[in-house]
Amino acid sequence: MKNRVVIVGGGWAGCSAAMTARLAGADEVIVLERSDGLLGTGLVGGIMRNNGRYTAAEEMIALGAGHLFQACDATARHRNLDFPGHKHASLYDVAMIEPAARRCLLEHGIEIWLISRVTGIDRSNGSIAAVRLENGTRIEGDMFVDATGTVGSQSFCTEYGNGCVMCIVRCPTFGPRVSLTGLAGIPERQGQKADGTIGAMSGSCKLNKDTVAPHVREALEQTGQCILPMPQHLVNMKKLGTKACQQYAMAEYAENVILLDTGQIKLMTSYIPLEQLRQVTGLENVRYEDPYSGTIGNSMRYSALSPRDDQMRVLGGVDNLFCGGEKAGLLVGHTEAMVTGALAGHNAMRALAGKELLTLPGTLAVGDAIQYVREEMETEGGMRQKYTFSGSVYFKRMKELNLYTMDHEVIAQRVAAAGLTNVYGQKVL
Amino acid sequence: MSYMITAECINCNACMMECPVRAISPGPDQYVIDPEICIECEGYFPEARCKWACPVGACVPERETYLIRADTLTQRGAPPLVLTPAHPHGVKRPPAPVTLERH
Repeated sequence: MKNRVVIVGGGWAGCSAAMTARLAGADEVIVLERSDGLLGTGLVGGIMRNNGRYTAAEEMIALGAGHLFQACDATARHRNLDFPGHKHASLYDVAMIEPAARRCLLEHGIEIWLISRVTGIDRSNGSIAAVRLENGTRIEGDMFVDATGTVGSQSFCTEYGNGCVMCIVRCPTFGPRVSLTGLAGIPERQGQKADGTIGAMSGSCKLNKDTVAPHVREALEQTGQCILPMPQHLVNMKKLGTKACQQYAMAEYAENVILLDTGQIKLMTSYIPLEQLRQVTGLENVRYEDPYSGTIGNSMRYSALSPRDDQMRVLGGVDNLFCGGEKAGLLVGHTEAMVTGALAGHNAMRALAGKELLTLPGTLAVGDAIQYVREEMETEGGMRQKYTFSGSVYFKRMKELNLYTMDHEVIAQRVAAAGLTNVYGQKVL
Repeated sequence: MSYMITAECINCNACMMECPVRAISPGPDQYVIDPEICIECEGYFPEARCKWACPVGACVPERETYLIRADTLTQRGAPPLVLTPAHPHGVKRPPAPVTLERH
């Protein structure tokens, strides 16, 4: 009988898990995606390779799971960009990235189901036997990966944020996110703000490029960024504390409007009321591209984190469930989602093959991050932090541990020394 | 009118324990509210108790749109769409429930 790995959720983590499961030798890999396209919140991208993410990307390439990183590099609108607090970033095109990711998966023989929200499971002897879609279709599988993310539902955004802002996730159309871990009856945790209350707001939004002044558009397209001062009477330092993305919570971000060119315009703040934004010179006619209601807020994240070990196995209840992406911890970013997703997909296959699961060692930034974040989340106050290779707490740690480097040779040697060169590229079955 | 439990239910049992009229019971996939019994906590609490108890916000006033969303997407020409290397633009799945077994 052919084996089958089912990935629930087609965002960056799910796509990454699908790739490594397939590379590890799965006969069938099916990605079940709720909406009409892949990448989910990855469509509000696309900052890659900034600060420690450069190291993480190169480690992942050396480990053999570089395909999606290379798709990001190939669709980059700007490379080696410095913006406040961040160096050598690469910005992928938010429109072109989804077709590129989709092609990558299809070329590797992965099956993608769209408009296919999982709302139920069937159990059998302590395992998940199958998942069920809203329309009753039942999909059996041997191993399952929860890559459903942690954004919303609308009631979560209403309870802990400023309400539904009609974001890219489009809950009203496709139904809100349903956690696979939750369907298995496993209790989940929620991320907190710095003051201990629940919720972390997504940290950026998009402005419509056609609605900014020509000089702003030119600056963006030529240099990748445009920094415009906020009128003094509108500067608001307090909002920084609520963001999920602590790597961008610096004073420069409160005093200025920081724009990056990702095809549309990425605005590096959770939200600004439109009437305030239009008081910025150059943005007199601006409109939100995403979320549509960016005037009042942004989507809320970290609503449901799965208990997991450092091999990405979800703990409790069922024995064939793995997780990646935001389910796996308070990790922020596309790179981070790909890192955890890749390990989940690979280990799902190792489990299927009856082999010892892979633990990424602490000599790699990607390995250290997985362990460190889990440990921190178990401490008092640990649920209030967010972790990312690109800044704040974890980037500082990378530098202290001498993990941060842009030297490809050093990284290749580091991965080789761990005996893991191209580990993701080799079949386990 | 009644309250209903949406697919976000995580089967935690908090609602069943709080319901003053015992309208809630565990179903095959999730907990369910019997619309014949639910009185929306009128006379018991200022707001629906299950809504207050639910950690994921799955208890909501019953609306037909929730119940028919899956059918609606399918009827409006958006059933599950399956993409494969042979069919990169997708093949629409039949609206009737099917089982994708392993071979």
